[in-house]
Amino acid sequence: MQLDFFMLALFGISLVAGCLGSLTGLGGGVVIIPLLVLVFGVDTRYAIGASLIAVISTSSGAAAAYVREGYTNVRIAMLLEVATTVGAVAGAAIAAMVSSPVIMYIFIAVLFWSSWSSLKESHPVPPAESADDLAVRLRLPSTYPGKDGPIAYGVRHVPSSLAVMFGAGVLSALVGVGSGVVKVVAMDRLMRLPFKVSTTTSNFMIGVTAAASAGIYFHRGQLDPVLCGPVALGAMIGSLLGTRVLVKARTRALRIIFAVVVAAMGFQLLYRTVTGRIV
Amino acid sequence: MAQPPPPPPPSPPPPHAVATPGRDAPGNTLPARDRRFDMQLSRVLIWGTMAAGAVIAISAIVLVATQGRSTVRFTTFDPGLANGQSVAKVIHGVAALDPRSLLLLGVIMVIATPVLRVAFSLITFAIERDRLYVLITAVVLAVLGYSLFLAR
Repeated sequence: MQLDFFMLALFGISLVAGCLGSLTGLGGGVVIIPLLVLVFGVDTRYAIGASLIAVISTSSGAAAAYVREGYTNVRIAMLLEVATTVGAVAGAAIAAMVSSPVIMYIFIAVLFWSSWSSLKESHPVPPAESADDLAVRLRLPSTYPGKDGPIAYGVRHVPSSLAVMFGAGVLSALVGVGSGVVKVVAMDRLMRLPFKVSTTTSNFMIGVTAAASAGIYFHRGQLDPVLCGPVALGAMIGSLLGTRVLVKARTRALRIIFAVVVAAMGFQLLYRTVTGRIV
Repeated sequence: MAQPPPPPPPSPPPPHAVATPGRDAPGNTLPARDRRFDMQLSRVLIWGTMAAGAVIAISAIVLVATQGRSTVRFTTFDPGLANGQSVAKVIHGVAALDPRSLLLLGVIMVIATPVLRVAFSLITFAIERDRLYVLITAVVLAVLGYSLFLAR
């Protein structure tokens, strides 16, 4: 493929992916890998590398906006990052040992899970009012801005959340996504953080987690500049548009369309992997 | 005569609640300090991302202008790079004004932004004499350092 056309197309696709990813909360990774593999025939290892770079750039861009608003709990993020970064290093080590089709099957499972979790009606667990002893000793409970001043929240189940976060780190490194779906399990269901706190803190952590595996993939030669450059720039600008300009747009219908598209790409990838056209 | 049920006792605020909106009692400077910390952190992320974006945009334009008509293929993974890529090589290429190395420098800057953010947090926790979080942040930074410089 001709370089100029290729880079321009990558930039455009990543722009849309970053925008939709931040708007729907699914993240850009779940669309960038299938598009690279299905549309451009890119090798899985290059696609995962490029996706990780997109994940980092969207996380940094969006995190900057969220931290400013005061929802992000930096202490929780830092504590859980111990688990996610160690998990990411482990995941990158595992990735070197398993074959591409195995990684692709795991990625397809993540696609279906992301699609399903974004379609189903969520029954939010009420935020914790009290905090576990360990959480208090770690000074994790905090406040977030409400209409009538700061609202306090508690934090629960720190050890099991750390275990789930380790898994999120492994998955993120293995298939090159932010694994937001796994982080939600830990932060919403176990720690029982308020919705805005968990989403912004999770987004804040995604960049650090992805950086831990991206470093390893860089040394392995999986980060090609021609792929990663336009993808990073497109995802960066796209997510900025998603968080700032389109923040008031109605996202329910968009979520459904996006979830269906993600699932459709999952089926297409599954077909190609089963028939041996992705190696 | 039935006694009216006593009103439910007001639920006590959680022990950790920071219930000082609008007024900062002397000695309770944590919220304001945390706030300032958030702002600086936000600035680190914005500038890091912007700088990386600028380097990528400029070197992408240079690459397209000079080699736009060349053919690229990514259908098979090139094992030639598999054991040879390093920050030193990229810097060497940047010094020679190779557009691909410049582009890769931008990509490294993207990776470095969250790392910088962790380093910034370490300094902030150290200034606050928050020993526990200095330790926790140092562990995260060590893992990132291992991944960026040592792991293969």
